[in-house]
Amino acid sequence: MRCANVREFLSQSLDGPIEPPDEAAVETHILACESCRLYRKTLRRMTGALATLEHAPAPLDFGAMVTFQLRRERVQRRWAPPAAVAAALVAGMVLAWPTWRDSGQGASAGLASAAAGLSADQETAAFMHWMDPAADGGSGLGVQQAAFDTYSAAGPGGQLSQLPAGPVSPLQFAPMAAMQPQPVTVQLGPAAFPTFFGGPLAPVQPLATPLR
Amino acid sequence: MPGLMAGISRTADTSPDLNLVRRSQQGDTRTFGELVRRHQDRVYNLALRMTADRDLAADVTQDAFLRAFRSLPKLRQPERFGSWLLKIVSNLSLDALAARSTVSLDALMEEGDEFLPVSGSDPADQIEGILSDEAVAAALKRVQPVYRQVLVLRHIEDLPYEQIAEILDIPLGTVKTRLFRGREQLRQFLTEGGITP
Repeated sequence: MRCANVREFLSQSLDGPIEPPDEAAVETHILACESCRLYRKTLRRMTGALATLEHAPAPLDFGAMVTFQLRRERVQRRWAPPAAVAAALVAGMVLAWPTWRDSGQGASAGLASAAAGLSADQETAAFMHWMDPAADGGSGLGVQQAAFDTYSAAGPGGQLSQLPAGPVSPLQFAPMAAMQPQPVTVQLGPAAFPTFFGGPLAPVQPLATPLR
Repeated sequence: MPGLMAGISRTADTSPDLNLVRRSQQGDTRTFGELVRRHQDRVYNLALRMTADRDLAADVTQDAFLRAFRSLPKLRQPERFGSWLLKIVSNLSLDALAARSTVSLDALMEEGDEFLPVSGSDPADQIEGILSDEAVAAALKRVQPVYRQVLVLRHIEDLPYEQIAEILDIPLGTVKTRLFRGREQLRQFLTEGGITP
């Protein structure tokens, strides 16, 4: 048996016994071949060293981080359909806005805008921004972001508000590793369309149903 | 068989896992968080040995768990969660290495056709002296990823051929061949690294 074949068998022998006929041939070869004897010793030392490599524990609480990320995604998914419906409503309102304002029926809304110190154009721009911040260079999360901001602002120490809009990287999450995510509560109703419904401009308020 | 590694439970304690996996499959993120904590050391360590980069390993670990959660409903054998997770980590580690380098994933997965030459009878090319963790880790980092994968799974994770074949979705014979070639490369790099008398 040649050295090359013997070494393949020696490699396999680290994981289990060699079959009898081959085992005898390998042993016979090794008795006469110093190089292969050293090879076997080397293999054993090397794989032993691999097996005892120092174990590196996880540097972060990935459980908390992954749970946090999954919940955030869930909030985003949950708000996507209502946001689409709301966006369609807004599109309709915006299209009808000039006719409505010119007809004088927009007087009450105009009064609300004036009370808030906004011109009609500013109000429309602010409302559009609120509905879709991405449209004018915002964070890209739209209504979900507003909801999440509410949650963030209420987070321990307000640190969560430092989060970027995209996925949280392990390094960004590290300083917050000890924090536990809180239930997210949001509402989408008249308060979400303040001046269009004649109400005061107000932030999205936490409400009843916690999102898991 | 050597391979005991402090701090890591290698034996599959499947029954508690099974309950957690089934509840996680229903979308319970809190339960999945518990499952993550049970496996995070093992997953991170595998990613670290595959990528040899702590930041990249942390990214791979996070990505692996997120992908696992999203794919959990499709896992038909919840009792195989551990192997399934290692498969995800192993594949993501290769993806991460390919993305970081200019080498394509196909190239990383390519097995060298050339048979590494058998060292001559000169005992000087055999490994002697102290094999430090640093020397072994450095040599392991130089081994082709396709061989490093099996070396890590066999010698660091202490998995049998059958489980490695299942995780990598390759035949048993291929596992043996890759192990042999991986060991040859590791030995060669250790020798080049001056681990000689």
